[in-house]
Amino acid sequence: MVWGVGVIGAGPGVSALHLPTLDRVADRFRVAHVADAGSGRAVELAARSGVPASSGTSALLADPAVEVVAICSPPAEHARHVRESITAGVRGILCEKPLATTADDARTIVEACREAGVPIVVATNHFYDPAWSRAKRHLVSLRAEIRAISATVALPPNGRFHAAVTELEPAGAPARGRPDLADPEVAADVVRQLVLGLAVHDLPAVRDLAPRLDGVDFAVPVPPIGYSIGFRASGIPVLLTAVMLPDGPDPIWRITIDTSTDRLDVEFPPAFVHTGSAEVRVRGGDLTTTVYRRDAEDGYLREWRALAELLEGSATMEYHDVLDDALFAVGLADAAASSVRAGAGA
Amino acid sequence: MSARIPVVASLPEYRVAVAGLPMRAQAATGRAGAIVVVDGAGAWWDAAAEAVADGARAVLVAEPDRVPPVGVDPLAAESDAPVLVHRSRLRHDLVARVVDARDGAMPRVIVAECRAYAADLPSLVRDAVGWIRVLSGGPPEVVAAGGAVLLRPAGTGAPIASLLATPTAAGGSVLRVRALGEVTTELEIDDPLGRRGVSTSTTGGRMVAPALHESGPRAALRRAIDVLAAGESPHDLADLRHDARVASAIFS
Repeated sequence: MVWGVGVIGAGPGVSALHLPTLDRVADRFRVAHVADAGSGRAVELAARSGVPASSGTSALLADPAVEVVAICSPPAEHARHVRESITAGVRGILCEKPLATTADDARTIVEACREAGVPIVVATNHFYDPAWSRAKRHLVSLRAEIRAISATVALPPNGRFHAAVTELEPAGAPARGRPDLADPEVAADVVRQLVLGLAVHDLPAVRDLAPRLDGVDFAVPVPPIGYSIGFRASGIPVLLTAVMLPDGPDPIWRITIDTSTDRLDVEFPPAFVHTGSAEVRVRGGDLTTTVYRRDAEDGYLREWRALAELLEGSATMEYHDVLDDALFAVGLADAAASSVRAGAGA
Repeated sequence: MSARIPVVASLPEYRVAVAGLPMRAQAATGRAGAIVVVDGAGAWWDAAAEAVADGARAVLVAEPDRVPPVGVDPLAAESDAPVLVHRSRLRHDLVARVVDARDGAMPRVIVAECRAYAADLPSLVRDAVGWIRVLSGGPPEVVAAGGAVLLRPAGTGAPIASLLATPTAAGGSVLRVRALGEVTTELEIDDPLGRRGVSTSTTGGRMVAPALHESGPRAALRRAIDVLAAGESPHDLADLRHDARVASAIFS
């Protein structure tokens, strides 16, 4: 079965990521409708697929061709759009990360989905990357104690990766601003947004290994936009580092897991481009080095395939996992913002 | 051949190093006027002070293990002769290569990941702090700690740094340092595997530094000879003291 997808949102992420991704899973999904929030950008995006465009969500959710929604609106709108979609009777939801920006919204959304029996996938593509499953299998079979986790991100502007997969209007990719990180309130807000927008890529994987958030030891902004956050989860030290650069080398996006014997590096490919899965490298305690074969599919494709399996009943919807992931991210974001506000490490 | 500097060295690798510098060095037994190589495994500060008292022109400390202030501070304050320090994970030619490749670009943030047997972790962290000091352009201090550690150099505009120190049950010492920014340096020193990888990345691509084929002891001895020839006053001891103090703060 091929499911009709209503895409809520018409920003660069939809143009460069979601529409090209849907083209790659055409055996399961097709674009049925695109809606913007009034910018008018949906018209051009919908025209690529020869489907209707609209502004707001009413027309999209009333469109009988829309069976599934992809919620790609700004994070603060996710909760409302999930609720509206459930009310409209959609069969399934793929929601861009973060699921919600507050714990209350997260609980409300997941409960609404559970009551309606609507499967929901949060697009935390790194967690769905086949390489993560491989890394997790290695860790499980190793039975070694996990002693530290470090996720390091350094990103140049997205433009070069957008250009590799689509063509954007000149105004399609807004330039990154330079917030005044010397202002603690601004810095706290930036760090909170970055946790929910950037670190959230890796947090489900972190929670997979260290499910209980113990506390934040420090959180500081990194100029021009970034963070350094040290926290503990289930007794394991976790270090998150990110910087978004105005210019720079190819991206680094790496999760390192130190166990009592082995070190695993999971190296993710750049966002937007579909160059296959992440790469898993293991330095064993016996001094062997193993590099696992990369998979042809990446997490972007696998998250859609996960939704298809849920829609078709071949997988079980674990609502509590979705909620726990969201609460972990919001809890960390709030604690990190508090740490920045309090001047921890200042 | 009269220009050859006498070198007093009992460590085998330094005796080899002397033999590898036949035009500039010669093995000697008398300390007066010589470069004296001191084994860093024991109370090297006492041995170094004795060498200076015996008239050594310079002292080269090989791989210092412990760095007690009560022993090292008087040496740093009172030595008339240059005291150089060789730390294989922070060897000067490697540092120079890394710094040169950055061409003055300041990183935005630095991350150091250390894993080692518990007994080896303090010295590994000490070297990680040294790399942070070099890459950030100033001596960092611990400003927050818990599972990980946050460090901030004193200089205005200097990047913050973070550090993870992980005790392991197998696999030995591995140091990884990344200085992220418009110019990114990635350094990994894997002692058991004998691997030392350094790369510098920019928009133009990633440059992998050529291997250092010279042994660490030879490079250290050559530097000592150069320091004497140039009449320089290296601040190796001050750097070592700083790095050890910060490492000690991390473990306290």
